[in-house]
Amino acid sequence: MKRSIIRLENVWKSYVMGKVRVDALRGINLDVSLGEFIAIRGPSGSGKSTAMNLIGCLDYPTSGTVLLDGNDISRLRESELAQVRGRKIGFVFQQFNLIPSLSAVENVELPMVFQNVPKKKRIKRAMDLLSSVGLGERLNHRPRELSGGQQQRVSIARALANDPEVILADEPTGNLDSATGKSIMEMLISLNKEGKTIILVTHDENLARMAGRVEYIMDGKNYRRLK
Amino acid sequence: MISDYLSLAVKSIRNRRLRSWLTMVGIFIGVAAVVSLISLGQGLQAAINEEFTTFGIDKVLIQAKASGFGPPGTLSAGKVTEDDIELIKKVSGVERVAGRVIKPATIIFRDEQQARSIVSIPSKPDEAELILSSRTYEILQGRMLKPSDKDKVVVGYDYAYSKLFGKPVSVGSKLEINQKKFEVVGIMSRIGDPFSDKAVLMNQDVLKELFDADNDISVIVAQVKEGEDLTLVAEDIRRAMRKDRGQKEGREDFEIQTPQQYLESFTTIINVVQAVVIGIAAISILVGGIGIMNTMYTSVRERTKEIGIMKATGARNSQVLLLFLSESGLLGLAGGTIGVILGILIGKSVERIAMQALGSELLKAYFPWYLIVGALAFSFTLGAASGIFPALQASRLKPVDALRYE
Ligand SMILES: Nc1ncnc2c1ncn2[C@@H]1O[C@H](COP(=O)(O)OP(=O)(O)OP(=O)(O)O)[C@@H](O)[C@H]1O
Ligand SMILES: [Mg+2]
Repeated sequence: MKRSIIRLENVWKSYVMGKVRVDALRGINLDVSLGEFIAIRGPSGSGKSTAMNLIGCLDYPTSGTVLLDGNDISRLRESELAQVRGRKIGFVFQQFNLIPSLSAVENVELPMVFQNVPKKKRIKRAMDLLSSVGLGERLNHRPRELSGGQQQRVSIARALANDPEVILADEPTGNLDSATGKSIMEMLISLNKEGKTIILVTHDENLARMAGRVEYIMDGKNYRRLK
Repeated sequence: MISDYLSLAVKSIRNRRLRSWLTMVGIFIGVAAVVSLISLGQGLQAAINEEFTTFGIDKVLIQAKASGFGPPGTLSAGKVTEDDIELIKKVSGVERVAGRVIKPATIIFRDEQQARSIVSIPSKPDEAELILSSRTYEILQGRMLKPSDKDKVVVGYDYAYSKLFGKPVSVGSKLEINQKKFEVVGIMSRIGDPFSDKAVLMNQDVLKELFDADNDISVIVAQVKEGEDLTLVAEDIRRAMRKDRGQKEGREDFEIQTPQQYLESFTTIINVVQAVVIGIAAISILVGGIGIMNTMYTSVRERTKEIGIMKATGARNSQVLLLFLSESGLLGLAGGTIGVILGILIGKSVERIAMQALGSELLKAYFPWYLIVGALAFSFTLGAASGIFPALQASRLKPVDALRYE
C-alpha cells in the first residue's frame, strides 16, 4: 500500500454571504496516494475548485478533516499553512495567474523568494525549470509578451520551483486550444512519471481518461458513475 | 532577505510610473521646502554670527531711547552728551569710550540735492581708533580721514558705484553739505548694510561746528576690558547713568545695547520665519503622506489577485506586509531624494540671486550632512508609516478570496 499524501474525510465547506449559506462541499471523501495522478470531474459549481483550495491549504474546511501528508491542516496556523503550501504544493491555474510586472524568470523565482532561497541558487533553478518546459529563450519576457500556452508553461515551472510533492492543476487547459492543451497535459504526465502527485480538475473527458484515476463530484459530494 | 523585497517593490513602482511620480510630488515639495529653508536659515545665522564677530563682542552701544523707528540719532526722546562719555569712562571694567554724532543733512552734488546722513569720526585718535576698529571700515579708493582734515569727507560705496546721484562721485569730487564745500578724499568698500553704504564720514569737530551741535552725541560705544563680563559692565553703566540723571529703574531715557541682544533678536526672527515655513512644509508633507497612503490602498485593491497568487505560492502574511511596506517606504525615499536635490538647487539659486541683488555674501546656503541624511531618513519613514494600514490590509487578505478577485 502506497503512502497517503492527501486525505479528505467527510469534509464540509460552507460559504455564508449575508443570510444565504452555500454548502459548496457536503461531506466529501478523497484519498490520494503519493505518486498518483487523479482527475476530478463534475458539473460547474459542483465544488471542484473548493476542494482544490482545501487540498492546497488555501482555506480551512468548515468541518471534517483535511490531512496533508498525515497532518491535519485545521491545526496549523496561517503562517504555518503558508509554509506548507509553499513547500509541498504547486498550483497551476486556468488563468495562468502570473504576476504581470515580473519577467518569466522572476515569476518562477517568486515561490523561492518566500522560502528564502539565496538569489544565485534561485535564478539558476528558475532558468533550468524554464528550459525544461521549453522556454529557455523567453526568460526575460513579461507574461503579456507570451502566448497562452507559453504562460501556462511558465506557471508549471513556477509550480515546480520549490520541488513540491503535489501539483494541483485546476482546469489548466481551459483557456488553451486543444493542441496546446494536449502538450500541457503531456507535460503533467511526464511530471507524474518523475514521481509528482498530480490532481487535475478538467471538463475534458479525453484528458481525464489519461489520468490514473477519475473522481466525480456532484453537488459537493462524491458521485459514483455507473459503468 | 530585505533586498529581495526592495527589488520586487522597485519593479512594482516602475510598473505604475505615472502614478508613482504623482504620489511623490507631495513629498518632494515638502522636503525641498524644508531643505532649502533650513540651509538658508543656517547660512543666515552663520553670517550674522560672523557680522557680530567683526563688530566685536566686547562693545556696548549707549544711545538715547528711540521714540520711533529710524537710524540712530534721529527721533529720540532723551539725550546723550559728552558728559556721559566722561561718566562711562569712570565705570570700572570699561576700557575705552568713544562718541559718534550722526546728523541728517542735505548734500548737493552737481546741482542735484539729496538728504543723507553724516556720520562723525571722533577727533581724539584713541576714540577714532575704537570706532574704526568696530566696523569694517575699509577704504576702496583714496584714503581715510586724518584728524587734521577740515573740509574733507569720505563717502560710502553707493555714492561711487550705485548711482546715488545721477553721476558717480569719485575721489576729488566736491560735495556741498549744508552750504559748505567739502572734498571727497576716500571711498569706502562695500559694507553690505544700506545705511553704512550711503553714509558720509566727517571729522567730529567739523561736523559739530557745521551743525552747531556743541555737546550732543548720537551713539556712545564703550569697549569692555578683556575678561570682564559684558552684561555686568553694561548694568554698571546703566546704574551710573541712571544715578547721574536721577531716573528710576525702567524709566530711563537712554538705552544700552549689547551684541547678545542683537544676536538674540536676529535669531528670534530667523526662528519665527523658519517655524512658519516649516509649518507649511509639514502640511505639504502630511498631504504627501496621505497621498502615499491613498496610492497604496489603490495598489492593494488593484493587486488583490497578485496578493492571492503570492499567498498561493507560499507567501506568509508577514512577507506580504514587508513587500508593501518596502514599496511605500521606497516611494517616500524616492520623493525625499528628489526633494533634497530640489532643495539644494533652490538654496543655491537663492544664494546666487541674493549675491547679485545685495552684492554681499550674507545669504549663503549650508547643507550639513545631518540635514540631508535626516531628510532622507524622514521621507523613508514617512513613506513606510503611510503604508502601514494598506500593507496590513494586503497581508490579511484571505488567499481564496484574493485569488477569486477580478
Ligand atoms: N468564496 C466563495 N464565496 C461564496 N461562494 C462560493 C465561494 N467559492 C465558491 N462558492 C460557491 O460554491 C459552489 C462551488 O464552487 P466551485 O468554484 O468549487 O465550483 P467548481 O466545481 O469549481 O465550478 P467550475 O467548474 O465552474 O469551476 C458554487 O456554488 C460557488 O458559487
Ligand atoms: Mg472551478
